Amino acid sequence: MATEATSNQPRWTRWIGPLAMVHFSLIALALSANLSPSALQSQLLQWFAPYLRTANWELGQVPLELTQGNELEGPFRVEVLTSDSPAGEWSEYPWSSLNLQRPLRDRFAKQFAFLGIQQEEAGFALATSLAKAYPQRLPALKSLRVLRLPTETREEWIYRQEGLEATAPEVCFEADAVRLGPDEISWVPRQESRRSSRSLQKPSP
Amino acid sequence: MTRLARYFPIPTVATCNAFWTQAIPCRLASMARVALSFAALVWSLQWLFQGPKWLADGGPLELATVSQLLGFEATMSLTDSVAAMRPSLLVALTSPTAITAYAVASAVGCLLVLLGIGGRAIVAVTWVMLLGWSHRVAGLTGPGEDLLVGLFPYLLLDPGKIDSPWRPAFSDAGNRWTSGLAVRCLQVHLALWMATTALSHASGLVWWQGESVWWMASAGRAIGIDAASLLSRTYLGNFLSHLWWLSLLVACIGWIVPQIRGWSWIGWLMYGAGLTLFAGDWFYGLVACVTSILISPWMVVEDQQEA
Repeated sequence: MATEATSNQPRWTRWIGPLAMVHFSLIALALSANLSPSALQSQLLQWFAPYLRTANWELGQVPLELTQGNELEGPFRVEVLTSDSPAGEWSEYPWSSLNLQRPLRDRFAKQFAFLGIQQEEAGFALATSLAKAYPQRLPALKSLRVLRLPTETREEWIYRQEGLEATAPEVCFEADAVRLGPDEISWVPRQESRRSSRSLQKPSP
Repeated sequence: MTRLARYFPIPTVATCNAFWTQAIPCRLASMARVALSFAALVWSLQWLFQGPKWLADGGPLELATVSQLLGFEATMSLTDSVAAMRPSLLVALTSPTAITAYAVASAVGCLLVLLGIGGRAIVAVTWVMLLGWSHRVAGLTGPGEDLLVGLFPYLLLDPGKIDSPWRPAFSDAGNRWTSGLAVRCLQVHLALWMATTALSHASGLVWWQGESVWWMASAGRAIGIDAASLLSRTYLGNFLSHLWWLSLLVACIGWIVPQIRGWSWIGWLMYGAGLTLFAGDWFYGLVACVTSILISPWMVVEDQQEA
């Protein structure tokens, strides 16, 4: 870059170098702690959260690695069962009515699936939100589930093509809708060992 | 002793400052501004179409649901979002109309930054609005969005300068130390991001085994590449996987070695193309392409004059 004398800079600019070093040390800390932070990194991030988190420099396990060949990466699919579906078949949730881009939809389904696997209360909240965003068909909605479709190694895929072994999708969340009123819905998990029925918020009119 | 000092230079405050505050043509800062604000404009326009349905009352990510996801006992308020260090003006907006208005304002802000109108004030307002999206749509942001929002505040250091918004944004030929500071910060942040990404890939065996593209195709993420088409082309799948990671490594190494910095640009561009084609994340691919301007030959040409 073209060099120019820097004598016309204000006196306070002498602090810029050290400040930049401190700032980028913190950025390096935030980035290096993304995948799996150590106890020390977590503590440091906690201390500097007002600076790093507020400005969105603290990432919080963003998948920079894109893939680790882990089955838990998905893909995930949200499915609904309606009273008028032929032969009681599940169908994919109609995302097109919500205009969501594919990568964002995948992230949403993944988050939903993890909440279901961890048996988190918030999983039911997401189920209710999806049900409410499905207004035209809401009266017909019977059940909702999230599946993790099998992602296979190349060898597994070959075996499956040869009919030797078929990997079944894993159910991460599955619940039946119970109507408590015209605008109130509750969920009963299909696997009773996982969780019990919970009433959820009344949708806004 | 002199030789030792040559090989192991001890950085001083003076040498640090010389690096960060070197005066450079401010058109370079303007180029960075145009590139980043273009990507931010695309992101804002995306939310213009999908935000009202997703974030307003009755949408899958309405405020009550997101509050629960983030661990709040009640629906969080604007004060709560500030206390949680994830401030977002969108917390105060729940109707589709208000969210549409926010998306329009955000897009207009990006457009003004792109045209170079409003200086630091508009850059600051636009950054706050972009942060608002990022903090509000918990869980739906990916690496591309985080990189973009992370780089944007450096434009505050020098938003560039143009005589008229209707002229080319790079017309200003003056040199400024603030331009140097902005461009250096953008470059260093991007370099740290690239290095972290390259090292993160090393954590997965599939990257070493050349199966990452296969894995993504099998998961249905790759665009236009299905697993069946890679089945009889093992070497092709391996080659694409190795090339993809190699391009990122070249981007990192090329940035460190000035003589081959042009390859850094090519490497990052190739990695960005892979993000779109293999990972199916077109927005991250777009951000990678626009940020490649920071390590592009235009910047390198200026750098060589220094020697």
